[in-house]
Amino acid sequence: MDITGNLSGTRALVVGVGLMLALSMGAAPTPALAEGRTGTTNVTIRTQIDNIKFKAPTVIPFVAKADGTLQGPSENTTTIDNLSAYGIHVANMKIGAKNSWSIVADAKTGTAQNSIDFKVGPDKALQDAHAATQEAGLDLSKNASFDMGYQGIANGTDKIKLKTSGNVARVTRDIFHVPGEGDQVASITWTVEPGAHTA
Amino acid sequence: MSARKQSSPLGSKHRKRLGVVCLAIACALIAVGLYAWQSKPVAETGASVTAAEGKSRQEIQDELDAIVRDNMMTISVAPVAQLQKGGKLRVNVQNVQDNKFPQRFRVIQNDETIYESGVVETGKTVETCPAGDIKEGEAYIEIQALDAKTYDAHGNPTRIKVRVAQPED
Repeated sequence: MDITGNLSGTRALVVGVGLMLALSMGAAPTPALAEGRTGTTNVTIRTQIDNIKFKAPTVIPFVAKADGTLQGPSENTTTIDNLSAYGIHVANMKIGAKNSWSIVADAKTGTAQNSIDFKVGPDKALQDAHAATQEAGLDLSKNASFDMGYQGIANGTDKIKLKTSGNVARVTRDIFHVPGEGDQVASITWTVEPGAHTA
Repeated sequence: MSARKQSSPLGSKHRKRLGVVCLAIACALIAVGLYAWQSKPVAETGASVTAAEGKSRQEIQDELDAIVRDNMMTISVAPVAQLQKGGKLRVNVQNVQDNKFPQRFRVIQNDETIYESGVVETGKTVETCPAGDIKEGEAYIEIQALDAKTYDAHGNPTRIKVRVAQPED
């Protein structure tokens, strides 16, 4: 059962009416209730089968400078935006190398050609791409930095901003003349689920 | 006059041959043009890298940001996939009208693909799909953006963890 405390729109209104009703009952108890008939009423709520809805980038492009440093898009643009009436979070990030690129922990060390290291994630919670290349991906289910509040939440946490950084080394692929968005180095599969992170 | 009459059949034959040759050349040019157009490489991108010479950091940043903005995609699926009568599963995958990409989706359970959809164009919803052998419990719906012209995979897929459940009475 999915339980949420944050709602908006019509559903919030319905909940609000329900809570008001409960409060007014408590404020003015009938004589019968006041005389020893005590008990608790659980007020519960859960999501209906409304869709989980969010917006995510299908592409994260980098530019390699002459010294091998990567420049990525700005974090204000590279976001995952929650468009749902309840909180969601990123539970996993799985990365696979493409086109003979090697995703390594540190591109500057080692000898492999077309080596790349990069990190992606919210500020202060950047995740190492190399760690996410394992079969099971990188478990983020316990990481609060990947939580997103309901759409329109006042403090702006209905989105996560993705920062990027990284390096390439010993590049033999022609990244100068590649058309479109560039030479694909990796595929990133985000797994998103309703609710916040597990403690 | 008579000379013209005698040469006329030959001229006609020559013109016909010339016409056939011209037609063949035109067809060949069209074929080459079509091939060049069709074989134009389509960027298959996820995380990509390129080089930029002679541009300021801000110019590069602006270009990268524009690429990201052009490749954002909204995903919308039911978080609870209900088993329904007739061996169907309610997934309610919506490819919203504002999206730029057609989508394809897979229903995955225990690393096995239970169902793979056809192309879901923007503005379309797939409410149910065959349930196959799916069991109650945890499953994933993986959404893949597609190139609007070729329907090849475009960019990173995204998975949504869902719960497969029996319908409520």
